Amino acid sequence: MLLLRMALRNLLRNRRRTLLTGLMMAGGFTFFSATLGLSDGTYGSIIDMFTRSRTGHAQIHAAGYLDRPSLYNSIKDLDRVERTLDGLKVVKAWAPRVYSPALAFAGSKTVGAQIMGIDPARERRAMRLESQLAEGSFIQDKPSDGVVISARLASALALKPGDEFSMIGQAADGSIANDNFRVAGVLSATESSFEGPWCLMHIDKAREFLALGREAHEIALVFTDYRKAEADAGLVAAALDDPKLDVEPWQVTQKEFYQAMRLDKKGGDISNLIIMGIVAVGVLNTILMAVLERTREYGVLKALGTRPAFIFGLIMSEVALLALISCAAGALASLALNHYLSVAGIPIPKPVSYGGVRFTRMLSAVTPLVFLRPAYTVLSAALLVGLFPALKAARITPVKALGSR
Amino acid sequence: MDKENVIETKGVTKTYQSGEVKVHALHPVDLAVARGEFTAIAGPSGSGKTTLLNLISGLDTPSSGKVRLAGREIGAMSQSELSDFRRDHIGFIFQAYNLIPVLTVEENVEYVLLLRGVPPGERAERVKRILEEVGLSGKHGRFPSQLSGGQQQRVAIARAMVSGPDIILADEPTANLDSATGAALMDMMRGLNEGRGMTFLFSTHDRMIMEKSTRLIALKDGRIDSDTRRQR
Repeated sequence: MLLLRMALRNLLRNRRRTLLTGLMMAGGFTFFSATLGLSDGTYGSIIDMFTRSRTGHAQIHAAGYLDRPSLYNSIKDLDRVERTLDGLKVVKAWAPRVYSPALAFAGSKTVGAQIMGIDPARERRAMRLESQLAEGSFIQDKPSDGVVISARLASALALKPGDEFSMIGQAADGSIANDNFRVAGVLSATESSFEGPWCLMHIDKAREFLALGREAHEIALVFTDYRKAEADAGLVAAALDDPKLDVEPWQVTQKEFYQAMRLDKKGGDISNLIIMGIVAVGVLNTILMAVLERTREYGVLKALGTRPAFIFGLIMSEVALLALISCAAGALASLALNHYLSVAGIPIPKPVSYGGVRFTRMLSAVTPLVFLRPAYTVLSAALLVGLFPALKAARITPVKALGSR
Repeated sequence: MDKENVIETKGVTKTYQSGEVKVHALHPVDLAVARGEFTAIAGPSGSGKTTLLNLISGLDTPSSGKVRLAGREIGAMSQSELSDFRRDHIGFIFQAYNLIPVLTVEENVEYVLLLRGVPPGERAERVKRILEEVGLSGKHGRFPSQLSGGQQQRVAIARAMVSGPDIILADEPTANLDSATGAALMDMMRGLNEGRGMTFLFSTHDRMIMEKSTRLIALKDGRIDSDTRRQR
């Protein structure tokens, strides 16, 4: 108690210096928090944009499918998997898909295509496929010959909504798959996540075309919180409890995107650490000055029989108190700033559109981490830089300290 | 060694290195101060008074020789042991008062009792009593900066005495005070010495302190020049 009382009063001795140091720490906190909020918010938007455009937060495949996709390697016990997913609170939506390569013909043109069979009603709840449409209409909820093709396939076969074309492929029963389709819609050339020669059709139509039973090659999952994708994917895997199934979060299925994002985030972290380093040097300078000014007092304390640990604790308490008060002030300022940035955001000079989402401004994400990380960093940096002056004061020789003015 | 002696030095010397020159601040000093003595070490500036006091208190270490305090050889103690020893056996009064500016009068005095682990109730009682004795009972909540020099030195005396140490070391305690305040404080310390039997050792070049002390040790060029006792 005496230690804290002395520490608090010592802080109040040179109020201007304490205020300036506190402002520096609170400013560092606020800057760190705001950049974290913006970074998390922006990455959140990008991840959401990316995952909800097609991949989902996690995917279920038959074991090994991702490494070697094959028509035959599918999720066979679909009913059980669907029932399990419906029983999991963390799963907000899910959508089954089938895939197969095929050959598409229109007039005299032939091109390799990729079939993706989807459940339109489920995709609507889980993804933003429909909003990636550039012209025409989307696939009907009931199976039909109407398909949606990517801009590349439309361009390769010179197709537009209403046109007909044929596809031929390998069916699962060994027969030749062969059917005519009508273009219902064409996906955007610039804002769609389907860059290749894609042909999206109703999942039942695709199953019929490929002679597949009630099975799927992929189930895209959307969780209630994308930040918990890895943990939630683990929960799903545990609930399914099937070694023949792989449940992988988007960090695994979209490894390259995830690694690029992490690298970029690390760059941001380094910038923040440099700023915190500058703040720490400022704090160190202030504490060293205070210790130097009070050398005689520490000598008196030691002469009276005070143990070095008390003096060490006194200085560290001062640093901790100042850091805590600064963190509280920084947290209040950050709350206001992050709230503003989460509502108004920072406009992007050149807006980006992807997967049916237009990204026009950077919005801050106000999460506990946005406050906890700066608090942890400011506190640990302050305590770390406080160690040297505290040790220096604790080791003061009383007779030398008493002789100082 | 005599059991009655609370301070004993045997062949204590102190040599400083000042650049390439060795400065002999203290030549071998043999000194014994008995319990309850009211002793002044006098001498001009640079005679070695403060150096001797620092060696006796364990604030500084001798170049050679031994110092025994309250029956214990302090040269063999670690820094932590010395801290504890000073806390339990020595009271300090400094020329510049050296009160802790962020503590009130009451807290400054209480501080040494806290270090000694005295229970709160007893602490409050002892602080109250000693502040009454030094005439500061109405000033307990003031900070040192709100007191006059004489009042600050009274607080320092109260702080030095509150734990009932074996010995009180006072380095030029009246040097920053006017003569009337200095004389009043000396009378007060003398009263406490007689009343409580505490041993006082002053370093001074104040004639008034020399006259009021019962034993006068004169230092000259780091050596004891004379050692005279007077009747109480």
